[in-house]
Amino acid sequence: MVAERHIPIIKLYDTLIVSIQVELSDRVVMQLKDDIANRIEAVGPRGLIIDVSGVDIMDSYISRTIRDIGQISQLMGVKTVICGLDPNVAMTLVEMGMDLEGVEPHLHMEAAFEAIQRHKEEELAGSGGEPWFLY
Amino acid sequence: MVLVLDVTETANKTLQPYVGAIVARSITQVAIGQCGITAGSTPSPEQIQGFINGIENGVRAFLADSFQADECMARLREHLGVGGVTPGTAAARQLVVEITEEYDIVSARGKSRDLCAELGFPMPEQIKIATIVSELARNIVQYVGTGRIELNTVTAPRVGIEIIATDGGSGIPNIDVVLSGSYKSKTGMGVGLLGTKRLMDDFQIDSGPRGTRIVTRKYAL
Repeated sequence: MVAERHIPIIKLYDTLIVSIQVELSDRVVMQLKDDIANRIEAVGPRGLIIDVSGVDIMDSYISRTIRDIGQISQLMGVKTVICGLDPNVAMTLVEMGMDLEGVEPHLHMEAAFEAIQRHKEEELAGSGGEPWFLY
Repeated sequence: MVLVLDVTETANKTLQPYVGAIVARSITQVAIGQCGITAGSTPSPEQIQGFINGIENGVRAFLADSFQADECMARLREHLGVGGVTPGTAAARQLVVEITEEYDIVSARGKSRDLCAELGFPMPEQIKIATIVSELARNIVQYVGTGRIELNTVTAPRVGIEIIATDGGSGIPNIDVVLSGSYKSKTGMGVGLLGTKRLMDDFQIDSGPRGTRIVTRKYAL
């Protein structure tokens, strides 16, 4: 019997970073889904980065849950990206016919972080000037 | 005769140029601990293989460059005098993992991966097969509750691995729909069995009111 483990969720300025570096059991991913939703509500970040470079096996349940996490946080208005997919895992996902639709993929953490920053700048530029309700 | 000390020393020396002395020592120590080799004894071929697998995990964790990691592992195998398994020489092995709870899925996929490494499957294939085992074990936990996964080595017609998943559930009611790819799963992607069929060389399913038995094979060469 393995004790319940939480995967740490790190806040870096206005971004939440989750780096999965443990062997994933169903309970751990389930817990992660809850934890992320709660942290998003508490922190109110602009972006979420899910780093899966430590995940060496992703079956349909795990990829489904990661996709769900992405969709949940997007629904909460948080730009979500995934990074660090192992080449072997990527090949397996494609060959089995699974995808991580709805979550923007990036090669590594730097690229993911830049994407979040770009998104933030676009948002700020787009809302430039006075708020819409003053017009 | 190979002694534990020699094995440790060889691994240490081989790893050092790649990861540095301190990391090399800690990887070696972890690997020794994992494979159950005790000091002063002569390790069995299985233990050596377990040791190499342990080292490989460590090396891949510390070396970002996979080409370097491959080179390092090739050197280690050469220094330890173990090559990949040549066809026909693999000892017949059978591993049985009883599936009773969710954590057994993790253990089944770990065991299948080790066995694949032992049989000389390249890394991408190891990952694919472990994923398949994970899917099959998960179906058991999710739809039936208990069952078993058998992992066998096969030598004819070629060297490979055979996975047998059995359970005593009430069978898969809509198996044609599942295998056609139009099935929508509530918890997964609905591609577990279909993906298994796609990725493996051989796939047989026998499902009825008394249970389900899936036999699937993948050949190494």
